[in-house]
Amino acid sequence: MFKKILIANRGEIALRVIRACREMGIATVAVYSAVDREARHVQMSDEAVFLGPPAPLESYLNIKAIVSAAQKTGAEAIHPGYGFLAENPLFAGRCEEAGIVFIGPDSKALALVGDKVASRKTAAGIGVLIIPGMMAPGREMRDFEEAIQKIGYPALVKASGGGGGKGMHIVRSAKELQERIEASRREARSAFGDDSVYLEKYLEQPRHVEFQVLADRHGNAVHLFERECSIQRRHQKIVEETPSVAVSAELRARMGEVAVAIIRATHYTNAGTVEFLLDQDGNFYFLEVNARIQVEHPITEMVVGVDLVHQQIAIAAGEKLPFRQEELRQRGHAIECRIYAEDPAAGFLPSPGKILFVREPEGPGVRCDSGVYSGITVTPYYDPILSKLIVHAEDRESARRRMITALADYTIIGIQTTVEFLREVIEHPEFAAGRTHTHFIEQHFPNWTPRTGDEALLDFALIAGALAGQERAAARSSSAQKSLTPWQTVGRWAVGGGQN
Amino acid sequence: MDCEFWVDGKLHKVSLEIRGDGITAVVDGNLFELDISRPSPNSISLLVGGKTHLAHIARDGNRIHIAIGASRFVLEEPQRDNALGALKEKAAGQVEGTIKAPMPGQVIKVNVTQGAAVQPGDSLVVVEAMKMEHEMRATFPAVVEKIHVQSGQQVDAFQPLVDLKPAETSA
Repeated sequence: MFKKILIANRGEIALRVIRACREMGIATVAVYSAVDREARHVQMSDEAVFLGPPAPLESYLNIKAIVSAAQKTGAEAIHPGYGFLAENPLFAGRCEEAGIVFIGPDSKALALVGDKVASRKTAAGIGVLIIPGMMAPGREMRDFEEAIQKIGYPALVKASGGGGGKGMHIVRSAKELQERIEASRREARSAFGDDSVYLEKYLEQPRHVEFQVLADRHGNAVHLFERECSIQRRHQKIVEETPSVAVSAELRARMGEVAVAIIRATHYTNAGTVEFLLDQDGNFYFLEVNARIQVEHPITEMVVGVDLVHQQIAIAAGEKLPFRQEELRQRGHAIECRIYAEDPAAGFLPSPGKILFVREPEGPGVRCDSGVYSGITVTPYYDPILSKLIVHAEDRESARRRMITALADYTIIGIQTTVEFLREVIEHPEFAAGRTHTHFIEQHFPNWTPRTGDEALLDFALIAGALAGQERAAARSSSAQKSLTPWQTVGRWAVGGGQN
Repeated sequence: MDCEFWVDGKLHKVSLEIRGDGITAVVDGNLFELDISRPSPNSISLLVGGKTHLAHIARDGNRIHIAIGASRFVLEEPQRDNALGALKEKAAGQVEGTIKAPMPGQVIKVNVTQGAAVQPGDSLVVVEAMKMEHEMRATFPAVVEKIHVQSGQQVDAFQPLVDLKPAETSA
């Protein structure tokens, strides 16, 4: 087993990997950019190496600086997290050349599945349904126009080397085609360093269902069942759950088999996710393989009882999978909500700024994978994810209620977040009924605005504000502190005490 | 002790009197008897008439943010300078046709030139933050009067990007 691992990422996923390493007795090396000196992943790791200026290309996408940081600190392996270099075959190749283990598939498999077009070809080759679309990235406008002739509008522009919804745009008419392709190219270039894009048919009300897979280097591969991630905004998931209400035992077995077959056909190792779109008639179309640990991996961990990051590290160290397919079971129901620094009332515009105060929910079956703390500044340079709130309970309805309670207990002051919006999504009768699809947000929350504060509580807010104001005044004039600060004169009251 | 707060454009008055065993508060003329405790530096628990309310509090300049349960309140302490500043800011925001950056980010494309005529829906400037592009579009027929930024430039939230002058309608 490794003695030291470098984590080439930031935010909540860096913390997730650091925790796994600590549990396994492995030392950790964090890397950070100029704006992340005070970030939690730097504080929690054993060592930290400065990479460079905030721009991703000069820091978290800087292959040379990261490989050299691993060599300098003697890290034997690099965990890339998700995003940044996680699916970059060039980076995996550089690690291989430098004799550092890349915790993920090898560079060849990564290049194959990371290229969305090549992986669609592979899937089609073994008889898996794919969504109609281009089988190669387009070079000139003519290529795209020809494809449109075949598939028609609406179509989806996608980045060949991308993921996470970055660079993805719907095109509804010829008028928008060129503009959307250009926007997609720019986003893809800045997010992944590769601007090749292609078109595929856009389905109107599908569910997004994906299968978690694990494959070791000894030819063993299993799936750890599905996750449904239909609730999306801007093609990026914000709520995920497992199991999916739309997947029967029979369908689950079929989809799982296909997922494992694709993993075998691509000689893929380590943790990965095979994504499908499931239409209303139960047809499933292969979308892509995500060659990384997914943002939403915790719900699988809760329901299947397997620590996926531990498994990633063990597989990379050459160990065999410790279980067979028939030993894996789903237990209960898990839901994840992604907490973003975004303003849902303003079209999910990023909302960077200083977090004045954060209090995370807690309790049975509640897990909060967070990368922030009170007082930290969320900068505009990176993905706006702050944390992930995950709940686990006996069944879907219990998990849903647990999530509503946990979101109500989640307080973040200072920046706009998705917390309140997500609570309304989970409370929505259509979500409760399990009628989810990828255009759920557009359909049910077209012009969302936050509920106003409960009028009845305003008086108490004003009293709390006055007390806080008074405390500040007292702190400023220390001589008057004793007579003015109420905390010192008022003892703790007992809950359920007498009427006042 | 007496204090005042602005909440959603309304001024509220609070006076507190601390006794040995509790607090008497008068809020806009209504009397409350309460006990308090302090579970953490940013939290105050109020016990009023046998009911508890846990308030989380954070200050940002003269603004006090308060969360009670899922409800959020922003209390603004009246300050002469700030009030004037806010008025000025408001007035500045009303300048007709100034397109401002919606969030801090980087200008990645300027799609218009000075003097150009634009129609509703025409792309003016593309701003990127957190790897997502946001296209600023014209909402009325206009002429580009002034361009404040160039491609590659970092901008703050509400920083002016482009001034538009409404096109004269051929009446």
